[in-house]
Amino acid sequence: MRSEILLESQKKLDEEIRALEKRIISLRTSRNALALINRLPMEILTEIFACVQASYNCFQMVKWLRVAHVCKNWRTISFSSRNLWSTLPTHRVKYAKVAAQLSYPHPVSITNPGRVSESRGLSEEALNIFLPLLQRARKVAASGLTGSTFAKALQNAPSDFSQLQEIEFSFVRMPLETSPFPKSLRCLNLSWTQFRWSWLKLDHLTELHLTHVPAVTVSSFWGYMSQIPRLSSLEIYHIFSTPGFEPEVLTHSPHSSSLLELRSLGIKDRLSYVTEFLAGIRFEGKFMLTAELYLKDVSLGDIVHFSQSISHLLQGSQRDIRSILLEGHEILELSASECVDSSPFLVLRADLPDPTVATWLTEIQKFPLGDLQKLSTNLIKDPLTWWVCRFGNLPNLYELVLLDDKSSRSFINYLAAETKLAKYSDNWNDTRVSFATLKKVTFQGVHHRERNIRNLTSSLKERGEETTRVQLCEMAEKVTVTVIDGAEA
Amino acid sequence: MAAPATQQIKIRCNDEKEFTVDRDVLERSVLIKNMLEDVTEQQDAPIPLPNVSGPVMAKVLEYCTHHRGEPLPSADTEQSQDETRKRTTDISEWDQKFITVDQEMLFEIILAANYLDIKSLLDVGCKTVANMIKGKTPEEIRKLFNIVNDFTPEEEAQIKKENEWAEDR
Repeated sequence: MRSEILLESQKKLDEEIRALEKRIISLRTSRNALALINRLPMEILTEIFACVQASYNCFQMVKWLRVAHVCKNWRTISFSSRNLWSTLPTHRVKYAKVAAQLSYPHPVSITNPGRVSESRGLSEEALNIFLPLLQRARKVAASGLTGSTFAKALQNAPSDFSQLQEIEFSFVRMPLETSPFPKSLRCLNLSWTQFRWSWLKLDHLTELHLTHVPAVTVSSFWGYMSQIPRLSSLEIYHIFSTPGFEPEVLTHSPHSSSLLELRSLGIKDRLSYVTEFLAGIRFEGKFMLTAELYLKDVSLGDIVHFSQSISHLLQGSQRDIRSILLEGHEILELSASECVDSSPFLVLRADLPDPTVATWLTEIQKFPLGDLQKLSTNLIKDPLTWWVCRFGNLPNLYELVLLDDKSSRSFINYLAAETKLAKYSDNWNDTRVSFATLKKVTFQGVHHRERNIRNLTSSLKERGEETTRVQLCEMAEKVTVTVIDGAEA
Repeated sequence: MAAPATQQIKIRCNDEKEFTVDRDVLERSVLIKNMLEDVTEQQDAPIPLPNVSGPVMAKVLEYCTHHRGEPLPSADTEQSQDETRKRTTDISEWDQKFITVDQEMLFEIILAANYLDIKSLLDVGCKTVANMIKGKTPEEIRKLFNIVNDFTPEEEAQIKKENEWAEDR
């Protein structure tokens, strides 16, 4: 009887404790409502949580969920925003399962964290979750076998994927018969991925990124590009091709003027191929082009031909070559860049073995150098530097870049020799190289001796360039000597 | 020839503090821009801004002055950003310096940016708070923002489960 009374009393106390605990939690919630951050409206906190989510990479993105473990208010907000649950990482199957439910019917992004060596693909359980979700996908990013599986699913019923706007496939093999890309697609990013160029006939595509994609001929490449009328951004790195294609210059496509940006072009092949590749470009719209070409066994005639192609490419803006960069290594390398909207600038860089220098000197005269504003060189032979300065027809040379200690010493020796010559020649002032337009000499690279920089400064002064003032500024890997006109200074 | 004088607009904050500002600076705020477009005749009376205090408005104007002339984000840009979720947490150096303020001012700036409809400033504010949260445990976040744990034991159990499925492959 007595124990019953005791138990009853304990029960009452337990109830009281529970009520008090409830009250404490309620007080804590009220206290949290007064926290400065909780004064922000729900939509702003949602935006902040979205930023937290975006700050993590694909592997760690589930860590955003920690915000839902801070307090009741944050938890409510986290779980009530469908948008916050719309990214489904394929490597977090349980999370993706919950996220798929919480985001429903919002469109989702399915992301596979791009494991290059992924050979296993998705598990049976994961496939059962993700394949049906493709129909709700706005973006699919996948690699390896997972990418192939998704591509196959897309191919089987492309009309089911009406919301899909963005695809990123890397290291995906797509041995498919028809295009796996639905009509709704706006942005396509393919890297190290085999595909058929005919699949790119996508009327609504606005962005195309291709990295290390194989097998295309010049004519067909630009042919396919011109059939994408709304393309506003094209990014290409390393397109491989088999030489021996039929060169075919495309006529101007009425659509191609809508191409706003051609950002990068990289080809590992022979220069003649590249030249013909460039000959296929006829864009009259605003564009920017940078190219990096790695070539072997290229004749100087090829280089001249290439330069003509570049001129052709720039015909729309009537610009000539602005800059030449010459280097003396075994492999010949050419790079070109042009930006119509900002300062026009084009660099040709040729790494030539020393024996070819003499030929180069003969051939270089074919270059239209009248507008050359920047000359970069690391050729160690005196004649080239001398020739370029002396006969190179560089009335607009603005900047000279010396790429290593040898080239800077070579240039300084040239200046010293010319100054010495002046002592024995009365008409030296008539024949010496004028630096009327040269405003900047840059010592690029890490091996320049301070002495060279000092010598250049004093050489220029010794030459009696009275209006010239020399400014030195030092950086970690680069020292710049800027020659400023006296009046400007 | 002298450049045409920029139109000056007067605004009044909720603490009666008044500012006279170039129109193009104020038009960083979509709210004020729309207000000015609705008024056809030039008015001398200041525009009342009942939701913003003087000190906060001074900071907002500092931001708007620095970013004057920059293109305003179009509705299309905003929509596509929301759709494709191409968010980043990068903040420019100047903006970072600008937003280095105490928490109270930070949240006031965010609220003002939201009210005045200055999308870029709201973004800077949200990204700053997100960067403060990133990498911290829930307990560390509570400490940072003066929040206490108000979960029931049942919710705590649920959170424990969530941690398991979030980490589990």
